[in-house]
Amino acid sequence: MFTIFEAQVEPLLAAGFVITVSLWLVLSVWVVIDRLRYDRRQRQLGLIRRSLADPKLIELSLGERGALVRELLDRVPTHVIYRMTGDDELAGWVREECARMSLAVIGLPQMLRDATPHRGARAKWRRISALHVLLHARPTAIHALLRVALADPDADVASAAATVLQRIGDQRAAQILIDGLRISRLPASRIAARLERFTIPLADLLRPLLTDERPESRYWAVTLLREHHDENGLAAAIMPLVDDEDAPVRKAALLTLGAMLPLGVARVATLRLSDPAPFVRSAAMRALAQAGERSPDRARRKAIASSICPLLADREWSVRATAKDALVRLGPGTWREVAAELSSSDGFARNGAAEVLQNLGVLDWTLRGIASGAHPTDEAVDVLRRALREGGVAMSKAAALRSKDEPIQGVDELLRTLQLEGAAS
Amino acid sequence: MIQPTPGVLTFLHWSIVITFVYSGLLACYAVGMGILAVIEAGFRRNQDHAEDYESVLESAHSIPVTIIAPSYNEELMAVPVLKSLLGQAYPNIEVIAVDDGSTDGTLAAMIKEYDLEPRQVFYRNSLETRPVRMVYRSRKDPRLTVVSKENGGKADALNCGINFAKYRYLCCVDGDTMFTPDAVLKAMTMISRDPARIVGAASFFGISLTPETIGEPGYDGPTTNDHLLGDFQLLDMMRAFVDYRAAWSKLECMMCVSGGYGMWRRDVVIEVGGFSPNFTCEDIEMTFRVHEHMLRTKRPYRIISLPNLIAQTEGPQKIPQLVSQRARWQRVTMETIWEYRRMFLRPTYRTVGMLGVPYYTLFECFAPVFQVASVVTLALALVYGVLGWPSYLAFLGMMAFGTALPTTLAISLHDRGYRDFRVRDLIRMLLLGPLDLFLYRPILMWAGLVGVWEFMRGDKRWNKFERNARPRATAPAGA
Repeated sequence: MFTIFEAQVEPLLAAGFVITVSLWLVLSVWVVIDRLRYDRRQRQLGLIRRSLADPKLIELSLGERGALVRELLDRVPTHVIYRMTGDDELAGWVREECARMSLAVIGLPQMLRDATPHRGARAKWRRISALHVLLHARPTAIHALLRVALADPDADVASAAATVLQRIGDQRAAQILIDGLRISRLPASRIAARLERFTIPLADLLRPLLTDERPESRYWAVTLLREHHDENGLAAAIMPLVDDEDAPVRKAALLTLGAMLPLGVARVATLRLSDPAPFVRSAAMRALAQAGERSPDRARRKAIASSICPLLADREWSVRATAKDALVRLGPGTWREVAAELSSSDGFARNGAAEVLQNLGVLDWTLRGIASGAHPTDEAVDVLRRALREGGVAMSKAAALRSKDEPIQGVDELLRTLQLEGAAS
Repeated sequence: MIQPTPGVLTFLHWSIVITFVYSGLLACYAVGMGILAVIEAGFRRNQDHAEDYESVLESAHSIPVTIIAPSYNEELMAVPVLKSLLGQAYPNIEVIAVDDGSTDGTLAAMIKEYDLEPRQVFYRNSLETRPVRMVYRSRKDPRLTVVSKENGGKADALNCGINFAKYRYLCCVDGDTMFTPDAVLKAMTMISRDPARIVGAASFFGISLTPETIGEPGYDGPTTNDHLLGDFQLLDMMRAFVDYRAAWSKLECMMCVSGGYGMWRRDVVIEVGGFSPNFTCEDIEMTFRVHEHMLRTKRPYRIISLPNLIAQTEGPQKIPQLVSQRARWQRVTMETIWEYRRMFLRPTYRTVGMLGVPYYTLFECFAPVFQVASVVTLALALVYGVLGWPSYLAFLGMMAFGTALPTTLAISLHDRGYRDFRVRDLIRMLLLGPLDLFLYRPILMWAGLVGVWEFMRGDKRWNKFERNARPRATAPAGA
C-alpha cells in the first residue's frame, strides 16, 4: 500500500497543488479585471450622463445632439448596449439611447425575430431585451408580439411583456393586459399593478369584464375600477356584484363602491355584514367606516356603529379586529353604542368594546375628569368601571402608564378602586 | 522520524485514504454546487435586471408583509434596526418589535424614540408563548407595534409576534440586523410571482462588526471590516448564500432560511405549530419542519434563496465569541438532523431527503470529527514518515487554494450581480481566501467540536455574544 501511495498519490498531490493554485489565480485575476472593466464602463456612462445634462447640448440641433450621444455610446460594446435596454436600474434616457443604438446595429428584422417565442435560456433573455428595444422602435407588430409574450409560460418573459405594455400605455396595450388577466400565467396582481399605472382611463375597457363568466375577471375589473369616478352609471353596474356568487368579487365590489360612493354604499354594505365569508364581512365594515368617516351626520355614524358592534363577537379573529378598527375610525361620538357591548353575553364582544373605548380615548378622558374633580357623568364613570373590568389588569396598567405623560394625581389608587368596583358589579 | 509498527502503518494508510476520499467527496460537492451556483446566479442576475420593481413599489396590490423583530438586550441596536425596518421601500408593511424581557434599556430606547403609548390589545393566541407584559403603539408611526413580554427565547418571541401579525407574509428578522431599504421589496417581488407556492425565502446578508453604518448618512454600499475575523465571517456568509444556498434553492432543497432574515407564509408557520423553543436555534429547524410537512402531505411548495445582499448583521469580534456562536450553530444542526433523521435517503422527501439531509449529515454534522481526524492523521503520517514534507506541503497547499475556490467563485458571482464592494475590498477578500484554511477554519473546527460536545451533553443555551465595542459617535440617540 505504501508503494502505491508513494508512486501514485504523491505525484497527484503536486499536480493538484499546481492546478488549484492556477485556478485560484486565474479566477481571482479575472474577478478584478472584470470589475475594472465594469468600472471603466460606468465611468463612460457617467460621462455620457454628464454630457447629456450639459446645458450647451440643448443649444445644439437635434441631429448634432443625436450624433454626440451615438458617439458617446459607441465606446460601449453592442451586446452590453442591447442588454442595457431592459435594465430597469438604468435611467429612462439611457435605456432609450441604448435601444436606438441596438436597433441601428442589430437591425429591426433581427430584433423582431429575437422577440418571437424563444428556445433556451440565452434566447429568453435576448427576447426580453428585444421587447424592450422594440418599445422605442414601436413597429406595427409590437402589440402582437407582446400579446404572445404575455401569454408565455415563462414568468420572466410574461413579466417583461407586462412592463413594456405598461410603458407603451395606449388603449391597445391596456386591452392586452386586461386580456392577460385571464390568460397570462403571471399572477393577476402583477398585471393589475401595471394597469394601475396607466394614465388613460380604463373604465370602458374594464366594464365588459364586470359580467364576465370567470370570477377572477370580475374581481380584477371591480378592483381596478376602485380609483375611478362614478361616471356613466359605473357604480350602478358594479352594484349587482355585491351579491355575486363569488365571495372575493363581493368583497371587491364593496370596497370599490366604498371608494366610489362613500355615502351611498351603507345600505348594501349593512346587508353584507352577515355574509358567510369573513373577509366580505370585513370589507363591508371597512366600507361602512369609510361612509361614516365622511358623513357629517352624527346620527348616521351612530347607526353605522350600531350595525358594526355585533361583529365584535364574530367567530373569526380577523373580523373582530376589523370591527375594532372600524369603530375607532367612526370616532368618539359613537362611544355609547360601543359601551353597550360591555353588557354582551359574549366575552370577545366585551373585551373588544373595552379595547375600542380605550383606543377612542374615552377611558383616559373619564379618568382625567374624575381625577381633576370635573365630575364626569355617572354613565361615563360606569362605562370606565366596566371597561376596566373587561380589559383586565393590563388595561388599568396601560391607562396608568399613559397617564404619566400628563400626570394624574393618585391615578393608581383610582384605577384600583374602579377596577375593584367593576369586578364587584 | 519515528519508525512505525506495521499496525500503526496500516492504520495510517487507511486513515489517509479516508481523508482523501472525504476531501474528494467534498471537492466533488463543491464543484457541483459551484456549477449550479453559476447557472442560478446568471439566471437571478438577468431576472433582477429585467424585473420591474417600480410597479410593485407603487402598487396597491402588492402583498402586505408583517415584519417581526425580536430583541433581547439590544439597547444599542434596537432603534437603528427599527429605523431600517420602518424605512423599507415597500407599500404595505407593519413592524412588530418584540422585546423578549430585556434587562437593559432596550424597551426604554424604543419608547423614547417612537413615542410609544401603552395599550391593552386583545390578540389572537394562535401560538402558545410566555405572557405578554404590555403592548405599545407608536404615536409617531402607526405601522409600529412594540410587544413587551417575559423572556422565552427567540422562537417564543417570534411566535408572540406572529400572534399579533395582521398579514399573510412574515418577515422574521434578528434584533441586531440592519436592512437595506429594498430588502422586503426584492424578496416580495420574487414571491409575488408565485405566492401560491413560495412559502419561505431567504436572502444573503453580510457580516459587519458595526452593522448600523448601513443606516448612516453617506452609506455607500458594503465594505470589508478591516478586521480579519469579521472579513472571514463575511466570506463565510457569501460562500454559504451565493454558492451553496443558491444551488440548494435550484435543487428545491434549501435547508436553512436564516434567522437574520427569513420570509415565511404565516398560514404554513401556524400549520406546523410555529417556531419551536425546544431547539437551540429556531431557523434551521423551522426550515426542516416545513420541508418535512409539505413533502409528507404532498403539497406543492417552494423555499427559495435569493442572492441579493439585503442586510448586515453583527458578527463576533473575538475568537471566544465566535467559537460560542458557531458551536451553537453546530449544535442546532445536529439537533435538527437527529430530529428529522426519518427523512434521510427517503425518496418520499425528494431532493430534501436524497440530497439535503445526507449533505447536512455528512458535511455539517460529522465535519468537525472528520476535519480533526484528517489533521491528526496527516500530522502522524508526517511524524512516522508515511508522507514526506513535499507531499504534505503540496496537500496543504492544494487544500488551502482548493477551499479558496468556492470563496473566489462566490466573490465573483456576487460582484457580477451587484458591483457593490469597492475594488480594494474585492482584492482583500480574494487574498483572504487561501488564508481561510489556516486562520479561520481551525477556529470553526474547534467550535464544531465544542458544538458536538454540547449536543451530546444536551446543552440548549443560546450563548448570546457581547456586542462589539464601538466608537461613541455611532451609538444611536436614546440608547
